Amino acid sequence: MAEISFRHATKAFDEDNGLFDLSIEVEQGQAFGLLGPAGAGKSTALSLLMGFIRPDDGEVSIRGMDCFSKRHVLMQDIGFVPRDARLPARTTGDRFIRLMSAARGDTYRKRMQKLMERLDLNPLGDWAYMAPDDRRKVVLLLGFLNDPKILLLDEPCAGLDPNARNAVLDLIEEERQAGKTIFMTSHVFEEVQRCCDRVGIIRGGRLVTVQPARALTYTRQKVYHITFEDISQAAAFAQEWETGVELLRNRVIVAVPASPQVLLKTLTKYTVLDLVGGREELESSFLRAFGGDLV
Amino acid sequence: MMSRMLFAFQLRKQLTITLLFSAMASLLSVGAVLLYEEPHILALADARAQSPAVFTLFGVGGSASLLAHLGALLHGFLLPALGTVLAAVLAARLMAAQVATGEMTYWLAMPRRRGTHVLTQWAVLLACMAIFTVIPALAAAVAALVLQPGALQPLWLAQLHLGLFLLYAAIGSLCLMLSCGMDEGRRARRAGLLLCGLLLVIGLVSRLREVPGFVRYLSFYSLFDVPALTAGRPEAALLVLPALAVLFLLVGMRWFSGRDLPL
Repeated sequence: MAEISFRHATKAFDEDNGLFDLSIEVEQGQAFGLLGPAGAGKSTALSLLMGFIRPDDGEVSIRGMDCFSKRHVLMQDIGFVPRDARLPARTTGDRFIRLMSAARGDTYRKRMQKLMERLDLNPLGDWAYMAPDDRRKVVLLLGFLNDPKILLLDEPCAGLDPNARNAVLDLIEEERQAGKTIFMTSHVFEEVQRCCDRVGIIRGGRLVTVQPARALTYTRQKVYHITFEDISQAAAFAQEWETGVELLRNRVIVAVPASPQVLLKTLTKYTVLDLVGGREELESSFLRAFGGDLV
Repeated sequence: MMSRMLFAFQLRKQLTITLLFSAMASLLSVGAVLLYEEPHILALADARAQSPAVFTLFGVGGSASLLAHLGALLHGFLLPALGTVLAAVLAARLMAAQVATGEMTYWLAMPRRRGTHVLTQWAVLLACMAIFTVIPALAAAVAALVLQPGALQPLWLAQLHLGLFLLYAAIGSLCLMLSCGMDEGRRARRAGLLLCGLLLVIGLVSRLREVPGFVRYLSFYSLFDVPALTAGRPEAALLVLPALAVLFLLVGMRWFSGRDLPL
């Protein structure tokens, strides 16, 4: 039985917004990243897992239990980091952290200290006057505090400076190494690539593909930078090649999905001064797939 | 079932506004005691004779005793109205506003049922309304002790305020029920004020002789019979109020437990 399961889950807010026919299974100890642009349905997926909303169709379950009706049972072992959430007004981060840990029946003092050091967090200030970075860190700490077996993370690095971002990604990786089940969303490719075993790409509420994070490195196109003798030759080549070509004076950049055989054959008609080729950056391949929506 | 820590935390957060309202009500109570002087009583009687309908509407009856005087000036309209406003504000803050800000995310990220959370917030609401009942009662009692020693029957004062608390419980529970179904604090507050305001007006209007008798059954405010309570004869119908409070709570719990939350 999968630890986390979406089975043809649909939650439609209107014709275009929501989640449609989502099917994902995450085994125990796996880390799954859901990658997509803003409005793709990532947070909706997490809301379904957290039992905040009920699917219109299909099933959403954790450990075989329905996430909506058995939420109160599941929350014992779940740590949740929301994308946007505010603490109660006129509360200090410290007081709220202690309240939440005590309300779960344990003080988690040692873990709290450890997390505060890792995140470089001073939670003593009033929430209303805290820097955005520190607020985000308090939210993160609350999610990791009770050492949950399942982590649901909605854009965990949102709003963090690079140092804090690295600290959080390190923390997530450690949790993954410790055998926790992780379901995280992001619109930043590097985050899911670094922390997850599998990555699902979502767009317009629909799952486009699910692939092992490592396998994604092999789906990239080959990109060639070709320098011609003069501008006219470059322009003629660009006109002949037509697709996937970018003209820069006497240089052309061309993307080739498969073997360069046809490209090389075509180039014999021209005077080529230089040819440099290689795989495109993983980030670029996803930008290509999503029309530049991802960071 | 209910978390004491969370109850204490939520109660602390609502204490300021509760004490503010309690201070206002206490000022009114002390003011009413101060008006229990012959010149003022006569002036009131004259005014009542000139506009009997208005005085009946607002439940301002005779001042045969200090308790009846307090009941006439405060409990017929002012305190129920003030209590309605406080209940609507608190109910909105305890449920709908927490959904709007996202604070509810943390409460529901805990291993407890949604219904348990509603129950905790209801307990907080009742505690606040109890504070709002007791403080003005104490203020009136102390003022009476100082200014009109021996004029006030403490047991009947307690009875009157117990009846008032039962009314507040029903009002608060209705507002909380509405708040359970909404995602914005302002809308929840407005809905509570409108509905309870309407019920208050119906309760007032039902006092007029010209109005058919069945109208009083359209509003639970009518169950708070001030003349009967100030005369030391509480009516059994008063017990419908806590029953209504529990009913509204159960409906609110059910509503909140079954709906989608935009968190």
